[in-house]
Amino acid sequence: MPSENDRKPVEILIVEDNTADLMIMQEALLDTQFLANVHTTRNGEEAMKFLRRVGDCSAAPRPHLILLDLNMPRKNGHEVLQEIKSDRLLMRIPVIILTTSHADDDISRAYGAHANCYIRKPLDFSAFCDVMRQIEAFWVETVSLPESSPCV
Amino acid sequence: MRHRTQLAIAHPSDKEIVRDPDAKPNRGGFAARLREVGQRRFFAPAQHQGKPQLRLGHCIEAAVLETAVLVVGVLVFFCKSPLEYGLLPILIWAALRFGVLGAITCGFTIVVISTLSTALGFGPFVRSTSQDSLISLYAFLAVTIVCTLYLAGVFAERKQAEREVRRLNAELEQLVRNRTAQLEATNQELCRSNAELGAFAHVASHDLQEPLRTVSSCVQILQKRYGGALDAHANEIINHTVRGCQRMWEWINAVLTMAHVNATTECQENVDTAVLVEQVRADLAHAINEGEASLSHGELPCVQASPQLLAELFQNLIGNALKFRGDGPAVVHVSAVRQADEWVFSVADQGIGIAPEHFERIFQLFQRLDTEDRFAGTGLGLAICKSIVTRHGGRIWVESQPGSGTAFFFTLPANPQPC
Repeated sequence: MPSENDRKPVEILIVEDNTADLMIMQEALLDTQFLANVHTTRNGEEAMKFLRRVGDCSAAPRPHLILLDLNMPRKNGHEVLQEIKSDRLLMRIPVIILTTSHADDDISRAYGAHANCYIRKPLDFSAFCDVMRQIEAFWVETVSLPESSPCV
Repeated sequence: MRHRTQLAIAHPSDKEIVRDPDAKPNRGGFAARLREVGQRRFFAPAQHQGKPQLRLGHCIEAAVLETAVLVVGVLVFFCKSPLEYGLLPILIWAALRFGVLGAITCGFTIVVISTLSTALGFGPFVRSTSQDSLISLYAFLAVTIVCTLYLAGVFAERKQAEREVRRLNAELEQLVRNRTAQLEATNQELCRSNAELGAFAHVASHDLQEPLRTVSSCVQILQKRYGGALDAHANEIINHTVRGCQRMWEWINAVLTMAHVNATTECQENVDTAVLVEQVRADLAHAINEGEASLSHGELPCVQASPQLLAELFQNLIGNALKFRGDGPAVVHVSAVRQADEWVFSVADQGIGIAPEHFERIFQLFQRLDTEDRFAGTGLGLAICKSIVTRHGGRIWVESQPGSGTAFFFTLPANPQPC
């Protein structure tokens, strides 16, 4: 088992429209010393462009993990999730829903569309850091992820 | 039998309208006819088809009746047949089927025939003198025709009453239609305001909490990154801000719970309250372990309730017992006793207690007895408890003395089914 020091950084795509939330997430990643290359997109359309390497995203890496907000303008998180999970090239990437909503409807819709897990954004910054630590511990250190650029 | 089938076909809401509450057994046929009238709109096509036939049938019947009167009259008064009482059923027939007019027409025919025959010296009423003959004849005719007319009059009255009932039925139907329309309008209005409340709850849950989290988190980041560069006062301000956000967050969630309780209509699941209390123990494990509290329960029943709301109720009451403990660790006991057709639950502690003058106030919205510094809270917990209990058709009250513990009691209807 590789030690933490020789682990390669994981590619993470954050899809989040709120700049303050984006900053909080990045701060939390920084705080937890999450070894990752973080890519950010501000709405669903941008996220799909990034994932499909369209236009100026042609050199975008294939992320290992996607952190997806639900309430976004233009294309919301549910639509993005649907598109990712029905695209043969993208469906393997674990999608973590990270949202303020704790509506039963949102939760069941997300899992219905094959979200890999659903996390409610905590109020507290230190709780947010805990969430990031747990994401790293589970999704990076415990589970085995598919290759970053799968050839199909 | 026929009207029973019709009731089964009729719309359920119309059943009550057309049922005649005064229908006595001996008026069964009549009452059934009234019901038929009340339900005419369900059988309207058949009746329209039947109407011309009915008129033709009436004419034929009238002709047959008149012929019968003539034939029997001639037989009785000219042919010496001993059939004079055979005229009675024919007159009754005329009275029942053609009313007063029918009775008069037939009566008149008989009077003409009999007077003519008796004057000519034929028939059963011929006596030695013509005067005696006519007296004898008219005595017979008077009794017969008066009885027939009386019968016709009674029957006409019944018909009049039938028409009146029909009119009243129609009015009642119209009234019911109007009321139904009003109820539908009110119902739509309620649905609309419920939907608005749901939308508000969504806005509150997402849009209000979002900026709150931003403020709270940003201030905490500020403290973490630049805390060293700030003086003690600045750090205290940051702490106040974070605590303020935390309270605001709790308030929003409490108001949302309140809205959820009021919007919940499904309260009919079979819930084992013992399981529920164990679930609450797990949820409150942190508070229980931290305060070295003890939570016990006696035998608890199954009830018909919403499991989410009942869990919220136990969580609030047990949470309160843990929070308002005395100097020592909290000791909380949950029990239930059956009283008549309801269960009386109690959540008792040995905590700081409540003075009797506050018993009413604590169940009201936003009412708190302590400062935020001493005991944190929104002042909504017990108001939510009251809403939940009321929603399930129960009552909630408290018994306590300052310094000697508190017992919250609430009732829930007893469940006929076992666990």
